[in-house]
Amino acid sequence: MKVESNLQGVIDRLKRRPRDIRQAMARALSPVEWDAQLRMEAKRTLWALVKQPEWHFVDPFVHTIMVAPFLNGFLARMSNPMPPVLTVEDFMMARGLQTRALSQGSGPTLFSDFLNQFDQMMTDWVATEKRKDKRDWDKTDEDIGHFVGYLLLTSDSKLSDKERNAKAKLLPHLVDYLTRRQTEKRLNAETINVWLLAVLAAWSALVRREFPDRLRAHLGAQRSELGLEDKP
Amino acid sequence: MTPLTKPAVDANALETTVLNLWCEFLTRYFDGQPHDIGATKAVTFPKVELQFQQSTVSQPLDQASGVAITMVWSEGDRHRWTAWWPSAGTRQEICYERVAWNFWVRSSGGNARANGRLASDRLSGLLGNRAETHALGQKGICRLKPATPRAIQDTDYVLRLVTVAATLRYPILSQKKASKSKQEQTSENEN
Repeated sequence: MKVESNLQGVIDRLKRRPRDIRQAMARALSPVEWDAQLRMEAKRTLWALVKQPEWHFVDPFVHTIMVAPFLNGFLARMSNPMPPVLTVEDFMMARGLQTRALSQGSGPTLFSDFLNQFDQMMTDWVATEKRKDKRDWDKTDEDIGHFVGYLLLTSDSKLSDKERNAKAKLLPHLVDYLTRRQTEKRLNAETINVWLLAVLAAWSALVRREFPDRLRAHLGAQRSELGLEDKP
Repeated sequence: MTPLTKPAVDANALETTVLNLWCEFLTRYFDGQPHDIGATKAVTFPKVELQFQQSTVSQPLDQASGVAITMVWSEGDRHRWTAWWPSAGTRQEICYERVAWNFWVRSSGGNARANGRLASDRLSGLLGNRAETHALGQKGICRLKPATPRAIQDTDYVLRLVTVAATLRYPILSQKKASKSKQEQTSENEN
């Protein structure tokens, strides 16, 4: 009688098992597999939560989604697409850096856009809110806006006494106007927070639900590659 | 359990039939009246506004019903498998499809927190009760597995999430109804 053992085969297979599981996990957590689904889930979630006037905010939020490899899995993030509200100090710094760059022969800098927006906001303020007097009659809104912008973004030490006094009077109105202009037609912080948390919760539910099936599918694929299908 | 009247899940109108069934099922309960849930007598349900997919909830919510439930079809692999089974008088391919929905429960106004919590608890409890969800199962929405409600935001704007996984069962009517067998034809002629 000949006694045969399959023990070595079993041992070999068990040795391969941890490696198989690691490989299957890596494949099941590949960012490529999740990217489209996570984007769509975020979109569906936001569509369900937004009010009619907020519809146009959905796409900018979805565009911020990033799915990338992280350790043994992936990292998915969605962030607030709204640019930060800039203060007068920010614009002053941008003007200083722009002036220095231009004096060194540089073309348009990264700050050009911000400063153009600032100039436009100053002109708009003159057109809509400034109480004009006889000194303003022979000047255009652009001229006045340009001068007001100069006063606001120039340090006090470089201004004359008369200019400093004018700046002190104008400053509270302009700061208020700049803040209002940058925060109008924006979502409030609470809504942004709710949206981000809701998408995170939907993602978490999706991954928890889908991951076991995917892992099982990848393990099954590996077993068939290795010719290790369980016989019925 | 009262059977649902809307048509069963249909392969040619999958989303529409599923949403109609959900609408009929949930509207029966979330009407502000007490209902028996399985063996539990007279469980009071809040009156809620039901919305589906991208439909927007009435604003301001606190001046409408105060609580809204929006059902959103979750994105997933929607694992499908098929089997052959008698249906509509002949053997047909029956499709089983694993799906999930997110129920977003929102509430606002006075007592919003308690109302939101009550609505999400009732929803989760109802969908976990097989005696009640049997009506959905008869129409092809089977094996419901609701998750415990999750609080997303619990301050001024109350938002809760109830995730429900399920299996859809519907025939893919690919075969014409079987013609009568010779035996049946003979017996008809004899009559």
